[in-house]
Amino acid sequence: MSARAKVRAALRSYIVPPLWMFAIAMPIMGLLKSMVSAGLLVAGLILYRTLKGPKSIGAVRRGGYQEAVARYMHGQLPGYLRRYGPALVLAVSIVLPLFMNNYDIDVFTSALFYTMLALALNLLVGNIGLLNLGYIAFYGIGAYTYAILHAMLGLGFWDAVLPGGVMAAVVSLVIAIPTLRLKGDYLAIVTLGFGEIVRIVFNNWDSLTNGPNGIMGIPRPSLLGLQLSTGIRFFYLTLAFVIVEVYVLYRIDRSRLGRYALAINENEQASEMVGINTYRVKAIYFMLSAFFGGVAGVLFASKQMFVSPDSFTFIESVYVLAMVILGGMGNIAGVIAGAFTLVVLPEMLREFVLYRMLIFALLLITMMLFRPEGLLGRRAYHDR
Amino acid sequence: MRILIQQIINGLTTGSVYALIALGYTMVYGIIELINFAHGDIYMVGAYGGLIALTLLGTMSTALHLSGMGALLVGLMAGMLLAAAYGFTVEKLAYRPLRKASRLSLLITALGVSLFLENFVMIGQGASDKTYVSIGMLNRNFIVGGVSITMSQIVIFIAAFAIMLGLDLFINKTMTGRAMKAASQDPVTVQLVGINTDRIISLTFVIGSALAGAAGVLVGFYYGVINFSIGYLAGMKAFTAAVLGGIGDIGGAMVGGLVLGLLESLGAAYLSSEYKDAFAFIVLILLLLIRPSGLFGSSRS
Amino acid sequence: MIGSSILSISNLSLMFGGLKALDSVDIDMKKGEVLCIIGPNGAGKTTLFNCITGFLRPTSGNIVYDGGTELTGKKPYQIAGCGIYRSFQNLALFNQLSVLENMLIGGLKRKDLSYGILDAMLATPTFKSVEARLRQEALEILRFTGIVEKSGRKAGELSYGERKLLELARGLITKPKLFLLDEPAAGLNPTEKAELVTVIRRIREQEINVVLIEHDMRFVSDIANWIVVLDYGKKLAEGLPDDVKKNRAVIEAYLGT
Ligand SMILES: Nc1ncnc2c1ncn2[C@@H]1O[C@H](COP(=O)(O)OP(=O)(O)O)[C@@H](O)[C@H]1O
Ligand SMILES: [Mg+2]
Repeated sequence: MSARAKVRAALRSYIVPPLWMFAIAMPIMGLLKSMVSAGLLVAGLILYRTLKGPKSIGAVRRGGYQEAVARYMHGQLPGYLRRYGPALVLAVSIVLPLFMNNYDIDVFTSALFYTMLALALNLLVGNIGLLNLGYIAFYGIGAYTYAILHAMLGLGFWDAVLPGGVMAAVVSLVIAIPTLRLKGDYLAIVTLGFGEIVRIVFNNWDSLTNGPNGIMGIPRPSLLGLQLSTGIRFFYLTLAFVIVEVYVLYRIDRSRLGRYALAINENEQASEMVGINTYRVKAIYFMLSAFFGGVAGVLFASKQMFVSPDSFTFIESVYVLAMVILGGMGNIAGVIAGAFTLVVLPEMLREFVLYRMLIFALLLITMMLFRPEGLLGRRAYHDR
Repeated sequence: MRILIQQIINGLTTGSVYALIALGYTMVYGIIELINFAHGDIYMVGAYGGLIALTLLGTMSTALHLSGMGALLVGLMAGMLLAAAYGFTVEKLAYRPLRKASRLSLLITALGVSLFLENFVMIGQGASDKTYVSIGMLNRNFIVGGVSITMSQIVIFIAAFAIMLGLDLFINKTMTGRAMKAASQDPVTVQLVGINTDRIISLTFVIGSALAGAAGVLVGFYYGVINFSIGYLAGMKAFTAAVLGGIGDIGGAMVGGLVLGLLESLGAAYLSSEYKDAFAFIVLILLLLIRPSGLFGSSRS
Repeated sequence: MIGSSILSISNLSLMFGGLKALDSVDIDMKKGEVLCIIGPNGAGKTTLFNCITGFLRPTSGNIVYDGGTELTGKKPYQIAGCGIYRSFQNLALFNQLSVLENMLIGGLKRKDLSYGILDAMLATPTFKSVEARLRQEALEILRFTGIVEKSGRKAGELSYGERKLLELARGLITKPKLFLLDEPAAGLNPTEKAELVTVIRRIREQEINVVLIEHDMRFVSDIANWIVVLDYGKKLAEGLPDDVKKNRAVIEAYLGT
């Protein structure tokens, strides 16, 4: 390349884009912030080029990291880590809260809630490849089911857990039966619209849901005479729910049902050809995913002791989806990691509260550009 | 009867706004099969663009003294320009690198872009409602037989239709326009014929965004307030309009917008005003289930 | 029962718009036969398979399977459930999954290799033994088709010939009664073709009825014992391989007029 061509190339890649960004950010952001964003862009571009460069150190590192992940995925990780990893994580999550203050326990509990949701959504998005953009509606239905059952019939937490899950599953079936035949994108839109409708109903069906004010006075559960009202006790209850969910999902993954999903996600036509009723399996997955969402909703209502439509907005659905994507679709460990990252990280960035969602959005976009399969990659191979 | 006519007028007004936004959805979908979630936010950016330009002008212009018409045009221009610039950039930075990626990645990116734009504007312009510049001329109100129609409604009609007419001429009468249309109907062949698809896609985003930007400015004048989150609902409704008209179909999007506007305002008057915002979603769901090809569309498979 | 029909197609027609892709086709296939369908490109052979397997719905006509089951109107998965497996001309594998996983998916619908939800949830001995047997059978079939050493690789990474073999292997694990093969030899080199013939022979030995679409007359004469010739959607001729080879109309259709 001649010197002039080099200069021109540098101009094109490092000067023009930031100038352009500056120009279009200016009217909205004002002078200072636009300059900062243009500067960040230059930094980003340089970083990008280095990482993507053919012989850069970054490329080597990336390769090394990907290889390590691949090794993990293929089960070549040292046996003891595979075997004792989950137990270790579990032990830490049992012991750690004993040394935490109430606030941190609350954050931890919230991470567990999102873990429940993300795992259940992952069943749909990661395992069978159906995008649901209104997922939070099932959480809401579970929560409201408990609230209403308590307000009307005085039912307690343990009596509401199953009805909450079942209610969500039944409603999901109502939406799934007609929509599962739609093409992928359309399914996403229908679920989005469904989520909105559910929220609008929560907001307006005053006689049942008390409208925007929500329902108060929902009791915390007790177990064997022990009132689970303190933060740490409730944490352990939530943890128990998560453990049960993880176990069930893990078993599903390793059994026939999981294999059905895997096949459908990969190639629907071939699945039909080996005799899989793809429609039915999809409906089952839809229901399972909603069921877990509903159960989590019951738990959520009892944690908050209060439900209102504000907890179930579209952005919450996006948030849960992002957790699934961040960690690695179809990968249980990845999804848990994703949920914790997206709950704990913003807590650590409290000073930047204004920029939180902006950073989150950028994270989503860059993930899709550079590592669409998520940090830990797609689901692990079980069968090699 | 009076209520009916009033609701029809109101419905056609919001409907023509939906139509303007729906065009961008439909054009983009036609060409890259992406449901561009960020499109509603481009509309919001356009609304801010108009406001910012007019505010700037307002602080300088007691001397210049723009006529109502001049301010209107300046606002529209600025909004369209800014929206177009954003649409262009979004396509180039976020969507283009994913041309060959999975649909899911693309859809999620679009969600990310939508969220980004919302928060970007919120940080720059604040989270509270902004009062739009008020132009005296637009606030005139005519009452005919008990039915009120404002000047801003008339302006929205005229502007929307002028813009759509312009688009129609562009698409059918110019070479570039025809290439665009062809690309949206059959992207593969167009590439074979040697048309630069990247350019066409860019152009589609620019035009679609400009139309959304115009809609943003018009809505700003009409309702008098805007905020950073208006894009979500408007975007969803416009998307519904696009589906109503048969996604990918430009003429359909215009009609779809008007139909949806009417449905909404009549539904609010005669069925339930609380569920007004749910109508669009219900219509959308029913439509996708019953006639995914749109109300008038023949299915393109 | 030797001599009864495994597949009888009567008066089958299918229109694509104005095009008659199949035009009143009658085929009767006896149990124990290797039926071969030949014909020039675009004759409607793949379309015939699509009708049998439920991927296309014929405009008119009937397809009766194994003496009494009407196939028309059934969905692909139901037809597969009746014991019919088909390979695709352009392959339909789970490319991102391992070869073994492809096999295990093939075995999903096996009645003799199933377990209940509770077994799966609790990983009971039944679950474990069924999974182990399934795996073992999968490996056996892979060995039999000669690709067992690739069992850990992604299906998409295999060579074209190996992928074709995998599609056959996956078919075998479903334990079909009727096996439809769409141009299995196309794109294979002579060695691979020879291997394929062996595999098909051995499929035949397992009392699986085979229908085969093929171009290569040598290949056909090697294994077929009945031939149906399609041309422009019509049945042009049928008979024993040697008779069909001498048929004037067939020669014309192939050489062009
Ligand atoms: N899905 C389809 N839509 C329209 N025409 C088709 C379709 N599939 C096949 N055809 C046409 O039907 C005829 C038969 O095709 P096919 O069965 O694939 O032939 P072959 O004998 O080579 O397998 C061809 O003319 C083909 O173009
Ligand atoms: Mg063929």
